[in-house]
Amino acid sequence: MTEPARLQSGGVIDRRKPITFRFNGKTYRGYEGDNLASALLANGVDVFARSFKYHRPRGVFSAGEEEPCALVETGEGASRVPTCRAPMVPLTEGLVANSQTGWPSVDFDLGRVIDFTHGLWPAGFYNKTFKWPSWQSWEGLIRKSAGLGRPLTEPDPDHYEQVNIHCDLLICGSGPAGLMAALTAGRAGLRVMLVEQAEHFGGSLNWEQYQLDGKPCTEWVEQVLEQLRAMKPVITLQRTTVTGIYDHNVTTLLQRGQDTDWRECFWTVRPKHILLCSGAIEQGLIFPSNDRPGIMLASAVRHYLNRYAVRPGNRVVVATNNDTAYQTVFDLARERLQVEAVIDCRETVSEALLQRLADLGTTLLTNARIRGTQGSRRIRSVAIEDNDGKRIGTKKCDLLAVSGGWAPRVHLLAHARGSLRFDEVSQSFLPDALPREISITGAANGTAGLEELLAESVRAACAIAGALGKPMEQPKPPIVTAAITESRRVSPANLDTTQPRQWIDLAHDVTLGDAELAVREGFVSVEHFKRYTTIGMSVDQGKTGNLNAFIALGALTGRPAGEVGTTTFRPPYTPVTLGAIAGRNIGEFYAPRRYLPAHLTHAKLNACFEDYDWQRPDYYPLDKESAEAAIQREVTTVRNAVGVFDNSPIGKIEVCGPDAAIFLDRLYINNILSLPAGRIRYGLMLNENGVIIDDGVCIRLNEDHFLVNSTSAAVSRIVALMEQWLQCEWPELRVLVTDRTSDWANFTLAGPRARDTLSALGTNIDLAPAALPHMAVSTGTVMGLEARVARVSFSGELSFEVNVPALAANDFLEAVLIAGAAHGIAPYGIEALMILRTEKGYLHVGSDTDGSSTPDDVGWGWVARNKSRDFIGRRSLYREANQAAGRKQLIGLETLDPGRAIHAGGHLLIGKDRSPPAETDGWVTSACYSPTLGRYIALAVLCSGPDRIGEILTVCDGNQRFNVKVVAPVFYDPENKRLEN
Amino acid sequence: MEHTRLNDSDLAQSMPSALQQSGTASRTYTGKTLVLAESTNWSIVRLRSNESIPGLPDETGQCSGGDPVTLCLRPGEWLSLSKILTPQQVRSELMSLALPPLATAYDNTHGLAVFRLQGSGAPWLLSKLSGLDYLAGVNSGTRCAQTRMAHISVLVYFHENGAGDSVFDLLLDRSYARYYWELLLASAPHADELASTSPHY
Repeated sequence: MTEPARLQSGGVIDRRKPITFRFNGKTYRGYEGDNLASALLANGVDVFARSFKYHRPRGVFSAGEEEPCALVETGEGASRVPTCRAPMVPLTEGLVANSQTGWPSVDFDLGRVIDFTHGLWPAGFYNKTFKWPSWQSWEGLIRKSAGLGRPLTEPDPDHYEQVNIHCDLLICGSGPAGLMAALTAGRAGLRVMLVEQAEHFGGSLNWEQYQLDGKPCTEWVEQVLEQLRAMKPVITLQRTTVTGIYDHNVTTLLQRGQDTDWRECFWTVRPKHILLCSGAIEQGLIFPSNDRPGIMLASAVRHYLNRYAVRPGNRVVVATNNDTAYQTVFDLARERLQVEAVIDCRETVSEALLQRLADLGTTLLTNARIRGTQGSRRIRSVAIEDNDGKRIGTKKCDLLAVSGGWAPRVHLLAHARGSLRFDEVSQSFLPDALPREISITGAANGTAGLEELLAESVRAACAIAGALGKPMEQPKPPIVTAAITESRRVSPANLDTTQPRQWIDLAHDVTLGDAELAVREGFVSVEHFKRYTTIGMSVDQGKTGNLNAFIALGALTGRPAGEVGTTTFRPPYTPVTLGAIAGRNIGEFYAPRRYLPAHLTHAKLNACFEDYDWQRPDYYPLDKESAEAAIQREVTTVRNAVGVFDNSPIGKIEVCGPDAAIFLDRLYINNILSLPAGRIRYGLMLNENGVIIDDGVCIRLNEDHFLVNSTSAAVSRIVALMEQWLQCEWPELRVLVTDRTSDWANFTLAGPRARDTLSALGTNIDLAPAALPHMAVSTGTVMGLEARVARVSFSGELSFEVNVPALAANDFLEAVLIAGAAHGIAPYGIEALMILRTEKGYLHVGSDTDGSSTPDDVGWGWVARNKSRDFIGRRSLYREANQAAGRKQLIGLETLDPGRAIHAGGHLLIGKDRSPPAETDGWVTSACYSPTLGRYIALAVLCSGPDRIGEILTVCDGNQRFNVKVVAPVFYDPENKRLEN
Repeated sequence: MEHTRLNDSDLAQSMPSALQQSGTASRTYTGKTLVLAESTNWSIVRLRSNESIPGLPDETGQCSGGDPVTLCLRPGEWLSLSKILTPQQVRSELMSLALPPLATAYDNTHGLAVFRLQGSGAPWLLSKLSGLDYLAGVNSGTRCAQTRMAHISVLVYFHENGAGDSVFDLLLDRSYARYYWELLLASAPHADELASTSPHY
């Protein structure tokens, strides 16, 4: 028989649309509008999961996101989602869900043996036991037998969206308080966002049996929504959880998609004001064996009954310490379901309730509590005693509806650092001091009674509208007709602390016995208590158990709950998918890509691109050429003919003004003041610790105008550094700094035929060595284009860096290749460039230097010492550590066997044929095969390196050990004759 | 929705090479609520100074003028945009102002790419990428703001076109243009959806 627990009529499910789904391999039926929990309850499923530690059978405890027991996994393969709360899973056609605990099955779990030996597994047992032979011997087994859910191993196939938005008023929760506030604020003309975590707006109005203005409350909800949707500046979001409130009230939301191509959307909201209408969460009662399947919150029973037409049980007992559970009795009676008894731990109840119970013929036991329960897969009976412990009797039942009072949802308030105070009447923690621009109304504020709650929301919304400059007259809230007059009065807990197996935290399987142990061992502060017992540390964050835990701690330590206090709720309110936080910032959108101005031409040349922040050609293979062959060919072409290299990413920072020279002189260790117009100087830039942070050339275009070519990776950092010094330290300097890197394309023509090639392009710049010597610059036109031509070399060959406007880059590069064809031109990439500069011993900051390298370490100490004026980092160069003997300094290496490969990263030991373990004496910073020299070469840093020229070292290169000779770091053309050609 | 990443071979060989570089020229995206296209033929000149300049807006975000329009990016830095004048003409106009002793103007035409975004979905698309209040911008007059979208610095220039429609011109470093275009395309469908479900916000 399908759906034995489904009522014949009622609910807001659509019985015309049946849905088939599978749970633990069995096929079931539900309806559109069901969730997984309601559908499984309707089908008579009792056991949904096994508990975290003791593997006890667990059913559904609640009807919302606070669910601590019915945790399942949904989906299959890469779409599997672990640890879903069954009441929060909408039922969809073909849904596959499984219990995620219990082996071999949730119905028969061998792990239950832990429950039978529960004395071995109290709170903190891992701190005391399983020590021999070592914790690690047991850890794997213990972790496997506990835990919730299995992580996925496949990549997430779904995609996620993100949105930023501003609003005047963000209303969290669309129960009666939220809806009333949204309507009021919307009418005032505020930009309102109304956010609801459930599938449907309305909160408790979806299952309670009130009447508003004479209409069923669900009808009132629909009318309000219709009005809101017609209001211009109002956004309503359902299936959206407010996950956290952060600094400046920035709030994050997680929206679940339905019939969308995105799975979740992560919203970042910047509201002017936040109104928390988040309601309250019903709490359970603490009594022995209070975790069996069939024990459910009283409000959840009403929820399943009224909204989903599900009868969670046939013989019901209701246990409570407050008035609200009586509504469950009346709703069950309406459906002709037998309520065996109401057990109320209070001495008395109101006359109105007494009369109604009498009319129904329902037994009421006051001054009574649950002594224990029986049943395995489902509750079978409850044992009852009075508050003094005297036995009263037993009642058979298959459903026990419990209500231990209500805990306002103050989690978001806690995120925002709002404070709480304990209220003796409601026996709960209520909001106390509110942070700026945050208000709270309704059950979240401890307000009981729908009428008062609606009025409070109207007042709050009007106050907010007034504060935001849109005052309005207070509208009248609807007239409420309710079954019972709710009072906030809750009976204080009356715990029998002699019975240990009373569950406080269902999700983490924490009992009163664990709480008592923690107190006995001295963990009496609420923070220690929480961490020692792990109360509230599961996926539910203790939503149904924390209040009872703090009250229990008070009872065990003889303190009022208010003195015990609470732990701090932190975001997220419910778990957030990492994919939603990442959004589109994954895969190809993980980091931005920059393209060279001549990218298309490079692509046509079959360039192999690599990501250097810019997409840059590494090499240009011809036909079926291997990478190695292409790179060596390119190096040889530059050395013997001419090569063209796209150096457009190089920084082009224009520094101008009467004090530009002074400014740059302070930034570089080099003497910039003496640099004549039209000349170029290589420079090192240091930080205040004297460490090299950048190198590059400084070009003086005229008296007040410089062009700084910083390294391509450091451009924005160097510009920011310049601005910082100008604005904060030297505001008196008359200097302007502008980054013009992308305005200009930069092509390097390098090789003996470079001048011929450039001339063939057509230029009005005199390229003769006397007119344009090495380290000089000239402006004019090339190929009719405005151009700056600089004689700078990073290859050691005759070299011209030609800057042309960026939009002409493709045409220009093609023209260069045509003009250079007669001279044997070839494009060359980064790989070849690195070989060329290594052969020449030219520094590469970041490869040959690290976070400790000073100018002395790389052979430039003499420049710093000879400069009498101050510059950034100068003072630090005189620190003892920076002057100490034995510092690691730049040298060259040659392998004794020329054909023996050497790699960057290999460690150096002074002496021949040495072996580790030993303290490193240095390491290889750059290494390559030199086609020019026909051997492997390397640059390295070595203790007192320049003093060890000619010595033999041992290189530890991976698993290999071999000997190398220390040489000067310039392998090719040490007299620089090639630069002048 | 998956989108096709631009391949170099997709690009028409006949396109002017000056526009080929960013790979986006002549490409337009038209969604239900927004239109996105590269906006070309701008002259862009950047003016720097260490003082305010009479005749130019002096508050960050302010804009003045028709064509060229001058945007105040921050104290001492302006961007002048023109569809009519050449960069040299724009520069000349700026240099003819009562400039303080320390002032300089650079042609930024080559270095900046411009994308134009129009339609009710436009503010939603921008809201997906940055945290400014674009949805309020409709009522707040011509203005500009610098922000970051996907780690890229973007200047947003909000104004109305000749037909009275709201327009967002997005200026960014040309080296990022192709990547940014792909990002806009990938984000556009959801922006369309947001604009359709919340048309009045």
